[in-house]
Amino acid sequence: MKTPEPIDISYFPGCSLATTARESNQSLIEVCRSMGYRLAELNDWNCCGSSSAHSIKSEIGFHLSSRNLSLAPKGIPLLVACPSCILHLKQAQNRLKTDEAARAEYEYRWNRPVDLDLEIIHFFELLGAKTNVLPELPLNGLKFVPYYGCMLARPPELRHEKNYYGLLEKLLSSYGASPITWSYSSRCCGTFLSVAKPEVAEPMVNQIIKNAVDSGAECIVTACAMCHLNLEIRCTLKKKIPIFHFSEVLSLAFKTETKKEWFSRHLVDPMPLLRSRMLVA
Amino acid sequence: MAIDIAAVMSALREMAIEEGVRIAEPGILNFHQEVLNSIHRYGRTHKLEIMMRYKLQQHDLFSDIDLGLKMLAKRKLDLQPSKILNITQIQKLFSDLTREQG
Repeated sequence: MKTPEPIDISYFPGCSLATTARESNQSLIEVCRSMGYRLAELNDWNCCGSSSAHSIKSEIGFHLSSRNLSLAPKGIPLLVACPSCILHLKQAQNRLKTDEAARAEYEYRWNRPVDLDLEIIHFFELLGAKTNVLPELPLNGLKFVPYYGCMLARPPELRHEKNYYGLLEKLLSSYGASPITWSYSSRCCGTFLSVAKPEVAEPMVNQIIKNAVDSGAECIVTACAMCHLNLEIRCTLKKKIPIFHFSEVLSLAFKTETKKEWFSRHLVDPMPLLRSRMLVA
Repeated sequence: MAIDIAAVMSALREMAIEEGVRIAEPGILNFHQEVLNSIHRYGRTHKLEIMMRYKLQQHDLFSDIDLGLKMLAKRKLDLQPSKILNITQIQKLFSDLTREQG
């Protein structure tokens, strides 16, 4: 049987996935490929403004996000995996839809018409209603707590957008992992305070990890690359557990073909756990 | 009608900065400023440089040295920044908006 042609999607990685969380980027591209999507990185993308522009210079933040929208090819969706980046890109698009002056400035600055039909989708949307229908359960009972962080919470202007809470549990359990219910799945990890005020972020992170350990989880699966980094670097507890990006665990669930060398980039070594669950050789 | 509390806080924060209100945590503002400087220079954030400049400003170069080395060893921090090709567009954006705010 002929393999179907891959579906092209443009892709905005953002600064975290392109650098500190390269393992998330690699596994995400791999998982998308296995689902039949070919990702084309947005040509010459820039930072979406991050929390900083949107905290102290929101106009600059808006234009930074809108430049990225102007780079997106027409007619195909723009995929984003970082919860913070997608929030900023969607807010910029929302403003362009309603603010004529902002549209005029966009066209003057980026020298092209606004594409209000551009579909900006989160990685979770590609997974949609996907669940495992095979009898095999490749995740071998891996006990995890889902961690969404707070950036996926929608501000009032985006309240009609999709809600992704519950997707990690549903999808990974269909592949044989065991989700554990806990009370910290949308606690803040400290965001940029991890650098600016580590003494504030540290107890927040410790509380999250302690609760995960106490609840019997073997690992935490995150939806956000920044949360992932903070949970890894600011935990000072003796007992630590591995923190995975969602896409990394999916790559194991989907049995993608690469060697998955990205696990060596973790600060909390996940290999003993992966071996004990026979998830890697 | 819903009130977007985070948006209200952001607007008040920016107004306070513009009016020169005394800042309770100047370190936080310095951090945000370093992130913006990085975007201005490269179009993207260069985390190693942001961390180092921020720590230098806070006279706190050594508190995260171990962590920085670990992150470098795991290739989580890049020594070189990733710079976009059309950086002039970004620099024009910053100069236009800074001029507007006078």
